[in-house]
Amino acid sequence: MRLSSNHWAQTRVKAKNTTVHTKPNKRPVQARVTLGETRSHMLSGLINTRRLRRCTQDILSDLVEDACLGLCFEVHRAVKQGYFFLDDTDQESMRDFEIVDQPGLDVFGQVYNQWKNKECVCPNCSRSIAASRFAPHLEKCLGMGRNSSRIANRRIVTGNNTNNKSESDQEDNDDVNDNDWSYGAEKKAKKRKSDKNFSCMTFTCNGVLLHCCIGAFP
Amino acid sequence: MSKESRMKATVNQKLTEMGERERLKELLRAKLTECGWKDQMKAHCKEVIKEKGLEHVTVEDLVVEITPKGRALVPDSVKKELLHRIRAFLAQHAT
Repeated sequence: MRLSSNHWAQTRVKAKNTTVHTKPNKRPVQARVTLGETRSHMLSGLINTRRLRRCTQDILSDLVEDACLGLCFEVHRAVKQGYFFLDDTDQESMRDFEIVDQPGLDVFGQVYNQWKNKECVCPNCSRSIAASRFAPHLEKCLGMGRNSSRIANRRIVTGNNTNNKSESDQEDNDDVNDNDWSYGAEKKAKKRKSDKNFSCMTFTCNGVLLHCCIGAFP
Repeated sequence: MSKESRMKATVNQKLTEMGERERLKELLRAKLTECGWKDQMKAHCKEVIKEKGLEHVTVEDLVVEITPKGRALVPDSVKKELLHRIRAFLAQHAT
């Protein structure tokens, strides 16, 4: 592209204070600049990707060599101070405590799901329940856990034993159903609370001593 | 090329001045420990020491045996991450 001589005069004046100005058909000439500008000018040459890559590789290899040397010094000091081989004991102990990697065993060689398949008989409803589900079942069965909706369960239980219950009890139960805030319900609730606020049961199941604590915190 | 070596010196100076070199060193050390490189190298050291004898091993022995293997055993993921960090630093502070 040909530029007018006028244009060139203007650019030449503008270019006086910049680092580089070019004339047609001539190589770039570097004007006088300060030291700071030289440095950043050299770094800006890194835009050249091949040089950039070489530079980063060099820096990386410096860092890796540093890490290796650091390790060597650390090991050498440990050897001379006598603590390098401390974690190695005799072969026999090493074999005793080796990590166990078998199915059904944890790293110490203990059986960890031993109680998963055992079943317990619930003392309340006489059903056979799996051990891991036993505590929640007991909660619901006795009607004393946090999520066991006590009143409903009590109703079911008293419903099953209708022969033994008196009429007044039935009435009270109805009151309880209708209105939670009725005096009758309160009395019953209070009574129940004082009796069975916190209950613990101990029993054996398949030769295992089980202790269950169920409590409703007021 | 002396221009390139001058540039390298400038880059190194900038890295050190801004504390980035120390940070990179720490990062590399942490990554190497994490990926098991340090344990591998320690096991290799044990062999070298058993070979040379516990009393007579010198720093030079260790350096000569350990450094080439150490360089080769650095995992690619660690190398990539460090290169990325260095490049990012240069891109940020080179202009």
